[in-house]
Amino acid sequence: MAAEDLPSEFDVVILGTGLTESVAAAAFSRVGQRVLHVDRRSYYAGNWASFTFSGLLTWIQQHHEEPLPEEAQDWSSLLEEGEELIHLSHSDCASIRNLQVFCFTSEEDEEEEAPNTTEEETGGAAEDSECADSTEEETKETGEEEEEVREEEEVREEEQTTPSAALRQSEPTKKKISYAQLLKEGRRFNIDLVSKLMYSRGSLVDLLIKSNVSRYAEFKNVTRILTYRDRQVEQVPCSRADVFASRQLSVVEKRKLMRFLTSCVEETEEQRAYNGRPYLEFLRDRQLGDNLQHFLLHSIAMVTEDTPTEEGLASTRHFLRCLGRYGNTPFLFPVYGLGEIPQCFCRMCAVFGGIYCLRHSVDGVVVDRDSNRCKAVIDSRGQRITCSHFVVEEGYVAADRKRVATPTRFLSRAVLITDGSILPSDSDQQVSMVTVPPIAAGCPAVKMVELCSSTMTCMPGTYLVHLTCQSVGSAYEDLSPVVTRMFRTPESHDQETCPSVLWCLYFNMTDGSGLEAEGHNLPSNVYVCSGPDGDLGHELAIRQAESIFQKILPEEDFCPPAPNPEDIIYDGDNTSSSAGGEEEKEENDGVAEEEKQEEEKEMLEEEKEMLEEEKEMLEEEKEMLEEEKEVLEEQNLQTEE
Amino acid sequence: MHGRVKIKSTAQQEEEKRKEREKKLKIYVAARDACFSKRKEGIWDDEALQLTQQLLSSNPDFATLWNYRREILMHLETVKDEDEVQKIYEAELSFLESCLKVNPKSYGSWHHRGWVSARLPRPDWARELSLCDRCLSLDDRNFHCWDYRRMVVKMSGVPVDQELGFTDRLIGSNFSNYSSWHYRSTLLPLLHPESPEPPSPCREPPHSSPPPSPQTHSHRVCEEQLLKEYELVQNAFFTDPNDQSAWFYYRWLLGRAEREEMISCVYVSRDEERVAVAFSRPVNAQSVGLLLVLDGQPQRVEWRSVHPRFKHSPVWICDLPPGTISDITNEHNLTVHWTEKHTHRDCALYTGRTESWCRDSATDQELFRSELSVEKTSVLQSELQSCNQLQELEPLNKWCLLTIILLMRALDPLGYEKETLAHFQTLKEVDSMRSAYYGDLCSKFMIENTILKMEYAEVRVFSISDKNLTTLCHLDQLLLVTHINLSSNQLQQLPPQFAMLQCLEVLEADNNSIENLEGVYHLPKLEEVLLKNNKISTLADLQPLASCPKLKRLDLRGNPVTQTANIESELAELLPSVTDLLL
Amino acid sequence: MSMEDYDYLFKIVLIGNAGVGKTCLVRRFTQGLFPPGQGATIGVDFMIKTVEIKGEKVKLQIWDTAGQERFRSITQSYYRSANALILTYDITCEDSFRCLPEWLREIEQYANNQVVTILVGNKIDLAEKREVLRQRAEDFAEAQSMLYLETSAKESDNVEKLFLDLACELIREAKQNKLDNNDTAPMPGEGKTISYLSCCSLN
Repeated sequence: MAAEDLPSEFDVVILGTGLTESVAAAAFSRVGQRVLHVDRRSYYAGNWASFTFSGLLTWIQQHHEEPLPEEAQDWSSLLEEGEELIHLSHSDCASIRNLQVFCFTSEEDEEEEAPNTTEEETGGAAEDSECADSTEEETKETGEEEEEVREEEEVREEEQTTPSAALRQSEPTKKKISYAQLLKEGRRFNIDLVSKLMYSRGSLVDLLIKSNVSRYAEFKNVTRILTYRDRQVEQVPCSRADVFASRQLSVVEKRKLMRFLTSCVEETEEQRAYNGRPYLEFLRDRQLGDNLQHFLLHSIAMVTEDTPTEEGLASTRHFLRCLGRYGNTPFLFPVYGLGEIPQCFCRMCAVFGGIYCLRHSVDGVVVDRDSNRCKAVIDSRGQRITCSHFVVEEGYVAADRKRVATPTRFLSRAVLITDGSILPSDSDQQVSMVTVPPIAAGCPAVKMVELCSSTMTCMPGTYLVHLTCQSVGSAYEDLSPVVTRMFRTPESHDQETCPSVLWCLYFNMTDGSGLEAEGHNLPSNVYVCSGPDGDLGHELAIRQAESIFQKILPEEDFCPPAPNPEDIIYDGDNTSSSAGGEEEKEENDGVAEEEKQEEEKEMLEEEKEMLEEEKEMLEEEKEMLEEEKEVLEEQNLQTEE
Repeated sequence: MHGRVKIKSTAQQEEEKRKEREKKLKIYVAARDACFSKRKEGIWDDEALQLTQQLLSSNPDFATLWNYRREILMHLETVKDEDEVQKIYEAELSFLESCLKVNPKSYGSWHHRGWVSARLPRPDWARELSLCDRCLSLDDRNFHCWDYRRMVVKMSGVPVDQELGFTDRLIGSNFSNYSSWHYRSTLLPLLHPESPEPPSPCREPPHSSPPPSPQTHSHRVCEEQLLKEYELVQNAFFTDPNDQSAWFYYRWLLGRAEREEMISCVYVSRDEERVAVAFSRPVNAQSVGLLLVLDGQPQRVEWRSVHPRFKHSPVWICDLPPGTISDITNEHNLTVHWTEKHTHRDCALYTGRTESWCRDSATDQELFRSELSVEKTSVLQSELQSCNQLQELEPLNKWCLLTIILLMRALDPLGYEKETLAHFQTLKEVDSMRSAYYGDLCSKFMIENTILKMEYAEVRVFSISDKNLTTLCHLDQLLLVTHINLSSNQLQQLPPQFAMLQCLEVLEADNNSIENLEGVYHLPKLEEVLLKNNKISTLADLQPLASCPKLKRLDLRGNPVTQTANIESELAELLPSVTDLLL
Repeated sequence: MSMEDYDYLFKIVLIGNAGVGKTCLVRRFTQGLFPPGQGATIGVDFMIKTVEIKGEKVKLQIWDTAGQERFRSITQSYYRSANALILTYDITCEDSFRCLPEWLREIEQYANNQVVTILVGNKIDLAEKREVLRQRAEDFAEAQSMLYLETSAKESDNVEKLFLDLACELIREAKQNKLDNNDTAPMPGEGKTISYLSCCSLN
């Protein structure tokens, strides 16, 4: 894989392969712009990436390492008269912080051990030692330490066989997956750094369809919406079928819920009267009862208690609009993880001639002092590349040049690998969206997505759980209380029935929604893209990409459909790609006159055929009678008049 | 801008498509002609199979070709061994699968699949079932697939409980589906038959026991299961009260047991020397083996329905040989046997009596506890409660209102009369398209209530004036009525069924819109007919009255017919027995 | 002729260093053309050719790298749902052969476990410039349990065979794992329009 030199002239240079940058790249390339798309990293999608298990461990390690001191290279020799250089940042590590890793499963398989050693309790004694300084811990070390603790625990258990332990023995003992197994099956994981879902009528899905980029990926339905309430995980009925099947709702609640949802669809005077007042108040006044109020506020509108009514209703409507397009919930999830999506747009960009180069960065932007416009960029190898526009991910832009909300907003993220679903059901292949309302005053509301192995994001027998919320404290402070309550970890108590956490990662990521759209201290033809935001959908990224595109090419269509391969005219051939040469000849021989006669003849024959078919109808009719009998039977059921 | 992709213009694409189509048509026509000529020559070879396959995969509704294909396959059966035949048919099935992929509602494909499956030496029914399930998951109303599935279930003997599970799944994914509910209604009586002794609780039949055979089952379901079904269907109509299918299923669940087939009444009149018999359902007395025994002697009598229009009727009459019972000093014992059903009814005509009857009254039979019932009152009461609950939430839902009415009738028709009428009023308003239907239904219920009241009062006077009646029904129940008052309703006719009122002496029907008297026909005791303010317009409309020998008094005031020229003399000629005529 | 489009649809993906002739192989096979002209394959996502094998229509969807291999920047998603991989090198270019292990690592990382891989040495028309001996490549392929074939897109040698062999192999595998293939993931664009809330009022 020999590397060549890059061409030195482009219309648009794009730095960073996150969703926004990738969509923009595809859009530019699609309409004929020469695009150079580079990323400093060795992988696609930046903070939108997904990793195999070992890939994630490497990523963690990279973020633990001290960033290399940024030594700005002197590219002054590449500058011309009247030009100056804006240096770009080498390290975007600033966007990730507070990484903490825990491993709660044993290091190795224990084949020799007795079957009753269910290593389910890993003991509270280890808590303190584990939490302390885990940031600096190597994951492997955590595992080893864990091993010792577990052995102690076993001894205890054997001494005093608690009733619950006895009970567990009687069940077929499920072997807990070891850390070694996670590593071995590591390539079956595709662990996303961001956790989002695709609203089935959201702007991302619309764009995928419109542009034909959807053909590069496959998608799975989110199969159910869950919520955490009164220390229990419950399924939220949202579709008609769900409401019908729900066991938690009384029939009267069912009616009220359906009626409420139906009435939401259209805006009414009654609703407008609540504008500016909390949605919760609106719900309360509908006398729906606690159950329904919880579902509607937290799981369907997915808003907080003080969200205004008009906003709550808008999200409710969006939810309803998305419902049932592809399945029973409003959401889709890409097979192999969200990291696929930016790559799909990159592929489209490449198909239309965009040039791709990972492990390659832009060191600086050459600015013409007079016009304050970017004329070129200097890449990390010191090549000067002329461009008319430069699009860059915010992580590369020095803090003093961009305008962001203060204080910096962060997202808290947790990624868990667990050994069971938080709500087991008939199928072990559920994809669940879980809403967790604030567990105490001042705590953030948490969005949780549980992925099963058929999404190709985790190995069979495990589940991948993503937790996301707006940061209040560190990711660990924000999310571990939820994890401890809903899962079995060494810190949890009496959680016999909960799935165990095998491994988990906490980190904070800059919230992309903090980036201002305008007002950066940059040339006018440099465009900054924000990183991932905390919303469940992808609206921000798509909107941003479209607006950058429209600023540069206001007349052009944004991501028109890629043509079908059959319809493309190749250089030097005018024939269709599907038809072989010989057949083509045959066609050309046909004289128009002859064709006409042929057609007439055919029509006559078609008629003859119809007569024939009519004859057959008699036979059919006989059979129809049977059907009719069936219909009658049904009517019998319907009425006894 | 350079680097733009060159794409064929729409015209170019269209042209290509047209050529493509043309090419296909050419091939199609050639193949079709080849097929026809081969069939004519009686050639049943592989090439013919190939050709028909080509054609049918593009047009699976070409029935002739399926027939030809069947001929070929039947021929191949005779020349190949079993394994080869198996292979051929398996290939046929996978070919059919591709046809169904293109058009899952092709009658031809499904029909052919049924044919193939039945002939396959070693059928794989499980595969067929899963095929059906896939098709139904795409479209749960695919009729052809339902049909085919029934056949598969029958051929492969799928256990009933498994099928019930299948309906669970379908209903779970979309409960707006008549087919699923209906299927359920046929399965439940097999799986959970009503227990023979009503008080004993129903148990799930043990899995080892053989499936109940269709012959022994009633159409009822044991109570325990019934309660579960109520719950299921309530979930459906509370979720979506506008979905009819759930309501229909609910009504089926609430449906009453079939009425026992019996002779409900025998009436004998000494004067007319006539016997009238009423049955629990319309029969054709001439063909059901009806036998009349008088004082131990079988009689040769001729049964006739009350009106020549009826071949089937719940009421039949016969004349006894003259003189057999005319002597009032004699006592007679009469038995009518319904030999086909091994049932009979006795009736004694005592000395000094001019008439006699023997019957089960409507009240005894709880006849009008409506379309619903047999369930315990407590069960119905709680069903009524949930419906009332729903009605509170959805006051204008017609299905709910109608069901409430039916439940009320099942529970206490007279007690709920007022509420029933009020609900009917709402129904007519919210569902004005069907107000005529509600009118008829309401009439029916009012008639039933009046019959009940009459029977509680033990009189033979049936009076139902000023009740907005639009139609008459249950007239077989009025066999013994001597005096009927239908005044001030909205009746338009006295239908042929009216002739079942064999004892009627006085008919009051003032202030209706009657234009037709077809049913006032051969009523032997009828003396007085009051039809003031109706819409009888021609003399011919009065013709049926001529068949009533004892008619003396007739009030026709306020009818158009009175404007006819020479009306009095015409009437005198038509109805010579009438002595008291009001015009 | 069949009115139905195809019995099987397979996605075949080409990989290998830039300049080894991947695009030429595809265009030779699908269009019978060589050289494919100066204008690159802009806008061409994949090429389609339907072939018939033992009476069954097999639609081959052949995906090219879109140039992303030039700077070793192929997206993972490119490999994801491939049924077969054609790993190509140039027999006149030792370097393109030496890169094969690197490509295999990518395959192992991102491609489906059951993917059928075939190693192709292209440009045998330039025999006089050969740098990689056939035996060496055969040994390498065998060690990695791959099929091996040498082709010339220019002379059309073995090109047809390459794709037909692959198709046969894929059919064989498909027939073995027939049941696994029923997985239907929803695709944007073919959304059902079922209204879930009520039979009539929404949508």
